[in-house]
Amino acid sequence: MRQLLQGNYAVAEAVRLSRVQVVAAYPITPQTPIYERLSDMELEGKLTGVMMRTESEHSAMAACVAASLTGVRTFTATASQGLALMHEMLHFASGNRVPIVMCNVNRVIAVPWAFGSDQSDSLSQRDTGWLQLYCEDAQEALDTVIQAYRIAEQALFPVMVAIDGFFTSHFMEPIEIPDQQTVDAYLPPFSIPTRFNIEDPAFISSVVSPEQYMGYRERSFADMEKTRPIIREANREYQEIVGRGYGVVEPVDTDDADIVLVTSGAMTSTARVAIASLRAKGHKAGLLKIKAFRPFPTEEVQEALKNVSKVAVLDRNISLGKEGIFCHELKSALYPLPRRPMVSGYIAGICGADVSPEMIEDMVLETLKRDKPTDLPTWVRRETWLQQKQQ
Amino acid sequence: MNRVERMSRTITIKDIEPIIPFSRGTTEIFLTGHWSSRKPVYVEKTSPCRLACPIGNDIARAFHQASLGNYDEALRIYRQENPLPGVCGRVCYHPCESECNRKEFDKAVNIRGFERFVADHGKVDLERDRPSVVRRRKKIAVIGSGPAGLSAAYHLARLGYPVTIFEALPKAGGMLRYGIPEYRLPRKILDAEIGWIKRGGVKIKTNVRVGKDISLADMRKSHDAVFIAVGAHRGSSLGVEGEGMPGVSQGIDFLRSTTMGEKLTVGKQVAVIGGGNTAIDCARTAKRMGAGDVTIIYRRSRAEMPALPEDVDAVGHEGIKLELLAAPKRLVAQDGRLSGIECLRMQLGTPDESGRARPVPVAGSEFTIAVDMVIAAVGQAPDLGFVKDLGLGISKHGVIEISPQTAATNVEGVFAGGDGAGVKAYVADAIASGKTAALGIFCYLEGREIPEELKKHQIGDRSSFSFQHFIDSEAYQVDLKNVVPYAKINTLCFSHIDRNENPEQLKPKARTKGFKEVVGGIDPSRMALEIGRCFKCGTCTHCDLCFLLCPDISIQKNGTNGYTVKTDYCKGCSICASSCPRQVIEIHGGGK
Repeated sequence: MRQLLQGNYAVAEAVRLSRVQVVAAYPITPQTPIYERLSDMELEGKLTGVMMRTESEHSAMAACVAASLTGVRTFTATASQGLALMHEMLHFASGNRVPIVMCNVNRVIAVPWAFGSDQSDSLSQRDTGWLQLYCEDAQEALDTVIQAYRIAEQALFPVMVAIDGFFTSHFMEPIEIPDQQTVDAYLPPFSIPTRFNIEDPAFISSVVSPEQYMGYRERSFADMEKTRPIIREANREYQEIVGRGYGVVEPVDTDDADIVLVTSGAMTSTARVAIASLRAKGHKAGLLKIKAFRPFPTEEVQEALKNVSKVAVLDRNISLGKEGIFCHELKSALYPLPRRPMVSGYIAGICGADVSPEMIEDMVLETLKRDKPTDLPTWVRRETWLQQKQQ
Repeated sequence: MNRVERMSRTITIKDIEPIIPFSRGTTEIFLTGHWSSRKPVYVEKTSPCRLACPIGNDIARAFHQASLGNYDEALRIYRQENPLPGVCGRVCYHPCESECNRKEFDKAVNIRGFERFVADHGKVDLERDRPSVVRRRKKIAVIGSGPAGLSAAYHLARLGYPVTIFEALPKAGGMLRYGIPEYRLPRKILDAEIGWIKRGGVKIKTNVRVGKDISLADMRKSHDAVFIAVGAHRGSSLGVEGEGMPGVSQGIDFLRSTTMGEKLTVGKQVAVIGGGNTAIDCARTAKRMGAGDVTIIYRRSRAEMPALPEDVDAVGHEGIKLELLAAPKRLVAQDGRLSGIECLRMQLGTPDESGRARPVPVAGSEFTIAVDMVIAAVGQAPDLGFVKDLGLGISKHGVIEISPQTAATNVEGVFAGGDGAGVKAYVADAIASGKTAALGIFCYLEGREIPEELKKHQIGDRSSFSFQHFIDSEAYQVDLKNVVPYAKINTLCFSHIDRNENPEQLKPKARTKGFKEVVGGIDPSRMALEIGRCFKCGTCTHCDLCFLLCPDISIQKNGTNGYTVKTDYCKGCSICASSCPRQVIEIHGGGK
């Protein structure tokens, strides 16, 4: 069924279709419509599970961890400050290996106080042991949430699905909503009934020795590596059953490219236009969209960029004292290659600032002209970009 | 495995156990509290009201028991220190309320009203409720059955001694009976409390005047220790011309005669000289005896009056005039009868040795008030003729010289207290001096060092001590030296509530028609509010706040008997201590 929906509502539809049993959440802009839509569904009797309206995001995640430990499918959604407040419990979720799915609607982190899209909130949670999948649009968000349950429950890791605040969360797009039967065929009920036995009680999150702790860490690391084929497989089957799919990366025209622009999230759509325009002008330009940030798709990135001489990375985030985070991760993924491309970092669209296809074209052209890599990223803001154009 | 089989696989405990920390055993091998040097200490402490009380009443603990509805237990707590809570609950000058922590929050708790309530509503059989101490043989004589004598006798009897009180007047009570009028202290209350003291083992022989019926020397010979608490029953003279003429009486004699039911004629225009409780009581008694105009003449201003402010207020309600900053110069007679009192106007000068402003006469300010009766109430002194045969030391103020710590006189085995020994002239201080004497006599008879004993049981740094602590410091685990300041009260746990005053149960006009008690008790429903107002500083009320808020497992409940701090896992976060409403828990250590 095709419907005109904003991205937040598309996520709510995915939660409904996944037959989630416990939703524990706290409203925050720009995630609130997910919370509201799920509340409506609960009232209308369309939601299989129950909504828990907690007093904070920290409690929401704590509730999800506890509920998930008892063997039910759980969901939460948050953004920005809410995710930051959840931080401690994110570690509890991954440490307890609970398959929670969370939608984080990317929003800039205070201070200054603002609301626009920015990946710094979710990227700040890089090392909490969650899988992170970044979506380009609302349709991908819906499909990814459903896939996320498959991945999470097989891998026994929590999965964060990130969408861009306002660009994806609030823009209305025609969305293809799969029917319940199709989703049921893809996603069997989640059940781990024997995890707890009241006749033989146990304590979870117990204190361990340093040796034990390191053992759990090593095991988790190994298990995270094993999620790579699970993600691939989950997507392949989804494509088979539902008819749509997304790789952990998506290379566009990279095979013969001299230069490839790498980006993620909603900005990919703008980049597609820019790359097409450059191609039309005769430049051998390509695009690489990165969907999975954790686990980082090292192999796929190497494969796509191994023959490329120049790479421009466009980040809607910044790590002070270094550079854009995708750029940084990409450089480290490329390091083992015998012939590494020259990588230039660009920072644009922070806090949802406007990024036009023309601006992206210029980034690519500038990288093409450059013969030496720069360590620091180039900041591209519309105002200064326009001034430079006029000169 | 095909897709469906793989996906419908149930995850079992075996899948989970290797990948998440999962314990079926104990985690107590990791004593995480060992890394913190700050630890909570749970110990009951002392309230500032108790510190202020000369008798050392365990007020906060009594309030706590009353809050549970245990009025008997609340009374029992009072009686550990004080045999006369019904008396003190009516006539005490309540220094406790001046130091009540609640006064920083809204208004001090009505502690005196509470003591009265507990005495009126609780019941403790003092014959059965006695500390389990050995029966002792050494005999003790107490001379005088006023508050000091009753208190000493009561505590000594509780310590197991045979005690006899010798009282010169027909009934026991001393100044409580013969100096405080019935409208402030009903006789049935006094009789009941004296009755309990007797049931507690004290013998009282009335109509025995030492020095007349038996000599002090003989009494000393026939007893192992003697406590002299004869009070100050002789009024001081005014020292003005005309004092000897008919129509002039001594306030204390006037009050005693009234109590004894002697037929007295009061004048139509009565002047009472003085500003203390005796003066106030004389004026109010005169009014009740049918006097027309009653005027109190006092040489300083109202602020300097030693009488309690609420009693001075009562004077106004009963139509008694106050002539302040005036002192009698001479008494004027007409036809051989008292007709007036010539006064001098005074003004306040520099403070004297008592700290109060010295009254200075204004030259040429003489004025005369027409009176046909003058009652002098300017001070009292003891009658100490009977002590001469033992050679007791008398101070220049005309009172028996004693050591304030032990109540001992210069004669071995003879102790003294109360007004007769120059103790502050309040009921509570007299009771306190009886307590001190009881401990002093115990130490003398049992060969103990009193400074050491006092130090152990002393409340804060004051002269008061706890008899309950003295008798059973093992079971009575209260830190008497640690007084809870207001800053340590967690005021978030309390809300502002109006103070409940004791009601005046008679309208002003009805009051002066007889001797019925003017001030009533607080009814139980209002008292419950007042009991709730008390912070119970330093007394654990088992509110569970520490237990509930401890983020670890460091506060453990001992059933209904308080809490134990288990420091094995305590990180020293101090939440227990800062949340405790009444500073029963505090943090020790740290900060090196």
